[in-house]
Amino acid sequence: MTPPKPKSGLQKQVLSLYRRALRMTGTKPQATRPKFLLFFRYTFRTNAKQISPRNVSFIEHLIRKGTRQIESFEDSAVKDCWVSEEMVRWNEEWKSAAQRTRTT
Amino acid sequence: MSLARFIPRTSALSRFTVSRTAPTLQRRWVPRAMYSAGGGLTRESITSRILETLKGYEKIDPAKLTQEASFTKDLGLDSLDAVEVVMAVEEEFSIEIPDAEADEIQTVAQAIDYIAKTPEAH
Repeated sequence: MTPPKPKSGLQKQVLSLYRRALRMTGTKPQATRPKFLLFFRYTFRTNAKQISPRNVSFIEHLIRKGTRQIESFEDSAVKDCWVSEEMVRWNEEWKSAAQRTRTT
Repeated sequence: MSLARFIPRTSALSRFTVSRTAPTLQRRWVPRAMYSAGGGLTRESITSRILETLKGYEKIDPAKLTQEASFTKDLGLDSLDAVEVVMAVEEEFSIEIPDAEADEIQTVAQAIDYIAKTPEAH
């Protein structure tokens, strides 16, 4: 087995932020957990798709922005999260794409 | 885990049906991990639990899932998926894997090895 390509520092930061977001999701009430999960999946995946990995300063900006947002979400008083129609639509597409890769 | 958690409930029940309380308690099944069970996990049980957990992830094709499978090459996952999968394994074994080590886990076999060498996993 060939070793995987080493990850860049920036990539590690993004993944660590994603991990932190998912951990936080686990502390939220069971009923609203899927909404938090959808929010983070949507945000990270659409950004990852749209932004060039070379656009370092913009990614750094998003990391700072995301860290601040997650910090405010980590407050135990935050129990729910708003999910847009766009996100719900994205989720349907994402799930059906996953289904397609399963069957083929 | 003690019987203490049942006490308020039993007292509330006993007001109405004293005779029924005991059998109800016995029949009630409380789902929980057997944290007090001694000894480490066997490799077979780790493997089957990890494979079961991974099957639950939407993007993983159960047909391609083997013990040797690599997340990216064989299962077609990206790095964000890999984070989610490792998090699912963490939850299954109620542990928290530090970032540096979680980044290293890129195959099913590595996940099994990590759990096998982690005494806190149960």
